[in-house]
Order: sequence, then structure tokens, then C-alpha cells
Amino acid sequence: MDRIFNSLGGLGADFASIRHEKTTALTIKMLDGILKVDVNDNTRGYMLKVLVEGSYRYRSVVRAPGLEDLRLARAFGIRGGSDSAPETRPVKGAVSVGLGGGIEKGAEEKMLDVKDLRKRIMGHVKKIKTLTITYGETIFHKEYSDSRGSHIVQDFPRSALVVSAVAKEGNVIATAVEHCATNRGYIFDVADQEAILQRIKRKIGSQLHGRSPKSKEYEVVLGPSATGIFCHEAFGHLAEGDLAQEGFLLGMKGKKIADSLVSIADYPVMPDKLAAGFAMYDDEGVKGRAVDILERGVVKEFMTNRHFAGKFGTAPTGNARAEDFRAPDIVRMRNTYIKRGKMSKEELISSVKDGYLILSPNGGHTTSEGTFQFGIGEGYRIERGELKEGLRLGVGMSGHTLKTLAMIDGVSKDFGVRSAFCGKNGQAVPVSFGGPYIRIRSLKVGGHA
Amino acid sequence: MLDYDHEMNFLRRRGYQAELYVEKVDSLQISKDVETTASQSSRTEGYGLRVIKDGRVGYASSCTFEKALIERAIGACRTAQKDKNNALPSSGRGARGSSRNLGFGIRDCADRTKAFFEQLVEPLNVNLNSAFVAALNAEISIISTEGVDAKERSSAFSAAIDANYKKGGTLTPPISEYCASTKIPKNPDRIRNSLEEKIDAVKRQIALPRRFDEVVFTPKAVAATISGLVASSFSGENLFRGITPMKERLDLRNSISLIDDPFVKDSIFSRNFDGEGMPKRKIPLVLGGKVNGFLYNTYWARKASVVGTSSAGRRYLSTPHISTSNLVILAKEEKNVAEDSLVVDELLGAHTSDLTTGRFSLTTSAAWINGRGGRAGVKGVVLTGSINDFLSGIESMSRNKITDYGVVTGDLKVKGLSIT
Repeated sequence: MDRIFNSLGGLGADFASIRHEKTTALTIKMLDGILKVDVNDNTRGYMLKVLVEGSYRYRSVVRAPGLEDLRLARAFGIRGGSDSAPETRPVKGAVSVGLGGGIEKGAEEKMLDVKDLRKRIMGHVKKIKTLTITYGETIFHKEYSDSRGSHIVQDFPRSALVVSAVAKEGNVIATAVEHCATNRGYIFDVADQEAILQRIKRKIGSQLHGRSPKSKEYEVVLGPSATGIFCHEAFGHLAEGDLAQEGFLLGMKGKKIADSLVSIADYPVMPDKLAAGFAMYDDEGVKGRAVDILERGVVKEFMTNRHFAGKFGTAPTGNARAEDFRAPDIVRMRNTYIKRGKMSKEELISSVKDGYLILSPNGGHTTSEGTFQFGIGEGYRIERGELKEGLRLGVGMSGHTLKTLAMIDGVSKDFGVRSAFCGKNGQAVPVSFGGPYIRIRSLKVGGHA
Repeated sequence: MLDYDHEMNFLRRRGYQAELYVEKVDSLQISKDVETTASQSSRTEGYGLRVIKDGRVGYASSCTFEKALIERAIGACRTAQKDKNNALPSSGRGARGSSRNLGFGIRDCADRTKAFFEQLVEPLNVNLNSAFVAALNAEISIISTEGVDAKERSSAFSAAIDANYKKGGTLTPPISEYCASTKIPKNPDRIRNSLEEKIDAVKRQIALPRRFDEVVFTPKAVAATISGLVASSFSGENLFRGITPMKERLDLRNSISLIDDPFVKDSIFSRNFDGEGMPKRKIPLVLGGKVNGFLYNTYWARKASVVGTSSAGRRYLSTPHISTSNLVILAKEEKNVAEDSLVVDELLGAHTSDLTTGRFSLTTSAAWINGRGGRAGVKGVVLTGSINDFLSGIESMSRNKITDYGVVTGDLKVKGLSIT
């Protein structure tokens, strides 16, 4: 690598960095009683990133890059960019998150844990037709070096569990998916398996006996998972530097767009053991810091990489992330939350005359113009403050970010987190999101006409 | 680097069936967002080894083919559960030899790729958000102890452009246009012109003026709505497990046909053999309005005691699953499907569809009404239904067909969905 960094001037390059990643990944899947290893990967590779004539040129390879790779990276590119070499002091850092005893177990023992969980679920939740349990772990070793002299090493695990159950009663089908992940050891040691069982049972019950609502605007209370996906999908993406510029949020800096009850932030790591969007340092070698995106309803700052930090005149936030060594870094979220309030969830629910409690989302999507849509995995009708029947499958909720933020008028102190993968520009990175229960005066819940 | 044949023979002598999947990719890419332009070249390799003995299967992958990979696969095999359906496809049907689906060579296309990109991002009457161009050559090899020895070299060129209209207080939803082919197009005019037309259609936004009983999906919207649902609904695995809304011989009560066709000319989804080295063939999923077939890889064909359909899809990182190739829709053709209609081009929430029931609830982000007075955009229309509703509800199709998205279709007029 020193040869590459020492050769930059001779090739007209102003700056270069090299990301070196080694990952071992294991996925064990139990599909209706049959166990198998689905993924058993051991990969290493490099991404060389070179600044030439104002734009970055990347080259990824599976063996250590040499001068020929530097020449090839330099040769393929478009002229006329506006980036300049970062004016930063070299950063030296080393982060190591221990694996914990569970992850160090052999595959056979992990298979037994998966088998046990299946037995518990099948014994506890009736009417399940098919059950798929997937255990996945990735052990990351990431090194970042650059021509300024920075060198950062990060070692951390990600251990995750996905349980997907399909139940049937007569002609009615229900599906329940539970997804949890941790960077703090072995998910079977960290997650509350009893709570997972109870949620699966509850979701299935709500769908089997649920109804599809007439599509219109309702008063809605979102539970922590649903709050999290709203915060991540409907707002978080708009606050990523590139999308803030593309959309409308950049122009609203300093403006109040929500009640003072609402504050939203993104963090490099979170204390919660089920928050698995670990990004102590990002893929540009920047040490991550908290980003207060919305502070008491006022747009305060945005998630950035070095380019957008320079553009906005702020210190970089450490949000430059790449899926792996094959992908270029782009601005991504990490661990994104609406902050706690003071009310209780019971107060929020009991205040709704005719509306819905949405506990569990089923993915979502938003545009840079602020239109969003989420699927609903678990929800209940509220009538005069009391919970009634559940929601059938295939119901979603949709709206516009600014309008919906302005409609939040209650925030609880009860709080929860969830981890998942976020997709952007064809790349998937691990993130977490969550928050309290929130009450929204009006939100479209889609069912039948 | 180890010798493939030598290691296959080593594994055979130890009583294993073994299959090595090798993926080598050379690629070039240029991308632009509102601020920056970045370019990338890469050369990556991946090796996936599957071994089977006494009904137990082991799998391991890496970016190099080395002894450690073989040892990990054997180790995984020893801990696996026995299942008599674990077996490699038999040699009699396996592909042998090399084939090419190569529209261009990566070493010669750097200048053409750059030129295409420069034309793609030339100023338009719209606000350009992002653009990318990617060119790749892939070489896939599959070698097994059961006689499969197949190699295919292919090329793929894709480009996308994303823009909206931003002026004063007006900000329209972004619209993306995309093209993909095994050849490099002469220029990006088709997608640039299409983008400008569509953004022009949604500049003026109105509320839905009346009730609509039908909706016209553009090819992009068709692919977004049904690709994932068709792949799941017509999976032999899901049929066997009873988690698909489709049934054998189900009558959809119309006359459409839906074919899984791996030979569509110039499509990046076309292949000569599947992820297990089995020669591909066309599979009619729906014929004349009746469900006709499902897709299987070797494992699920054995489990369901049916003939396989050579529908294994995979990357080197994992074992084969079941996958579609190109989905070709055949329906009654009309010249002006979109006259006096609600037309949907972009939707949010396709990935939130429930794959077990086939149900979806999607929100339009780019839609317009084709009225007598011209086009007017409509916002936030919710379309609710299921894959069965969609396929049953196809009334007609426009004659101009697009192949870029893996679904070969024109505009589709569909009735029977809930539109609010």
C-alpha cells in the first residue's frame, strides 16, 4: 500500500485510500424441519479509491492492489469534478468488539439452538403451516488506510435471527416475520426468545381474525417498530446529504416542521444490545458522531460524507458506508431514532376515538419528494380508546413526510429498537431504527375502496 | 490456484458428489448524484463448492479456490441433516461446453461507456438527480462430478437516469428510466426522451377526479408490481409447502399467457444453462388463462417428485434457489391502451407485498390521467389487490414491448384492483 500512496503524484492523483475487508459469514436455515448451511463464506478484498481531476475513481479487486490497479483506476473516469483532497490530520484507530462465547461455538451447536427454537415455537403457536428459521452471522475485519497516513482497524460481529411463520385457518392466511440482530455477541444469548414467540402468536392471531379497513385517513398510533420505520424511511433518507440536496429538506434547515415533542437523531453506535448498525468509523475513515437531524421540531443538520460536509460547511458525521469492498461508499444511515417523550403508550391509545394501532411494519419506501409507503405486518383497530380486531395482510399506510411530521402530537416514554438491512442504490447495509409510541392525527391506511 | 478437475476427482474418490460454481466478473461503472461523479472498475472472482454424501449437503464459498474452501465444505457436510432429496442433477441432462451471450468485450468498451454516460447526463428540461452506467462481462463455469461441464460468457450493459421537476414551490416526485441489454445502445435518447415526457405528465398534480375501475401499468410498473410476486407464486418450493396463492390448473378466467423464457434476444436475464448447469428451456406458467406450470431446481423437483425445469438461480455465495429468467406476457393487443385512463409508472411498496398470499397495497409515486384535455399527474393513489387479481384482470396490452426489466410486456390495462 505504501507503494501506491507514494506513487500518486507521478500519476496525477491527489489522494487515495484503500479499504481492506475480510469477512466470514455463516447462514443456517431450518425450513420446515430440515436444517442446512446455506451460506458458508470466507472472503477478502480491497477497494482502492483515488482522487483524480476532482472526481473519485474506484477499483475493487480480490487480492492486494498493486501499481497496475492504481493505473487502471486512474485511467477510467470522467473529468471535471469538484472534490478536493481532505484537509485532515491522519487518524489512527482500532476498535474491537468481542465475539462472545456463543458465536465461537461450532456450526453443529448453533444448529441445535435453531432446532430448539423451532420446537418451542411449534409447541407454543398453533395453526402454523410452515416455519422458516434463519440464523446468520458475519464476522467483520475492516481496515482503512489513506495517503494522509490514517490507519483504522475495526473488528466486530453481527449475529441475526429471522423467523418467518405462515399460518392458515380455513381460507385465511397469516404471516409473521420476526427479525432481530446484535453486534454484541450471539443473538440466541441476547434476544428474548419468549418475547419472539409471543409476538409471532400475536401477529398470527391478529391477521387470522382481522379485517381489511376501508382506505382513508385515520388517527393512528405507531408502536416502536413502526415509528422506527417511519423515522428511517419517511424522514431519515431525506436527511442523507445527497437526498437532502436532491429533495426539499436542505432548504428547510432552521425551519420548524414538527411539534417540539419530535426530535430525531442518527448515531454511529447505540447502547441497546439489539441495535446492530455498528459504524464507529465510516468507510472514509471518519469517526462517527451523533447527528441531531430534527431537534424539537426544527431541522438542524444532515448526515454527510466528506463531500457533503464540505458543501454544507459542517464537520463530517461519519455516514459514508459501503455494502462491502466491491461497492463505493455513499451516504447511509446507521442507528436512527425518534427520541423519547413523556406520555405513556396507554395514554396515547386511550385518546384515539376511531383509528389504528400499528405495531409492526412490513418494509417501506420513500421518494426524495417525500411520498412514503409502508406495509403493515401487525395492526389493530382502536375504537373509543380500546383495541378491537386486527388487520388482515396486504394493508399499507402512506402519506407525505412533511404533512405527517406536522401531525405528530403525542410521544411516549416507552421505547423500542429494531435492526434490519437498508437498501439504497443497489447496496444493502445493516442499520437499526426505532423510537417511542407516537400518535399521528391523520394518516392514510390503505385497504379496500 | 488448484486444478478444478483434479479436485473434483479427489472428491469423487472420497465418495462425494461435488459441484464447483465459478463466477468471474469484470465491470466498469460511472455514477453521478446531484454533486459528484464517481467511476469504478473491478475484477472479482467467486467460488462456491457444494458437496453431497449420504444425503448430507455441505457448502462453502470464497474468492479463491483453495484447500481451505474444500475442507470447509466437507466440514459443513458432516454436520448437515440427511435428506434423500439432496443430489446433484444427473449427467445425462447436463450442459457441456462453452456458450456465449456476449454483446461486447469489457476491455474495448471503456470509451463507449464514457461516451454513453456523457450523453446521458447532458442537460435536460428537468432537474437531474442521479445517473449511472454500468458495463460488465461475466464468465460462469459449473463443473461437477456428475458430468456437468458448462461455461458461459455474457455481457450486460445498463443505464439509469433519475430526475424530477423542481421550480419555485413545485417539486414533483422523481422518475427513473432504465435500460438494459447485452449490447451497448447507440445512445441514451430512448430513456432521456421517455423521462422528459413522463415528468411533463406529472408536473401538474390534481386529486383523482373520479372513480377508476381500470388502471394502465407501464412496463416499468408491471415489472415492479409482479416480478417478485410471480417468482414466489410460481415457485415449485412454495407450491409444495402450500404457501402460494397459485394452484395447478387454476383458471384465471382470461386468455393471457405468461412464459418463463430464457432466450429473449438481447436480454441480460437470458441464459443457456441454469445455476446447476442444466440446459434452460421455456416454461409456460400460464397458458390461455390457466395455470400450467411451476418452476423447480433439482432439490425441489426431487422432493415434489416432478420433472425439473432447470430453474436454479444462484450466485457463488449460496446454494441454488429457484429463479425466473425473462417473464413474457402474452395478451390481447390494442393500439391505444392508455387512452382516457389512469396510467401508473412508478409505485412505492412493491417489496412490502406479501409473498405467501400474493397481496399488495401500493402507493403511486408517478401516475397521471390521460384525458381528452391532455395529461395531469395524480398523487398518492393506493392500489390494492393480489397477484391473482392482477393476472386475472389483464384486459389488453399495447403493441410496443419493452424487455429491459426482465418482464417482456407493453402497457397493460388491468381491471379488478381496488383504486383509492
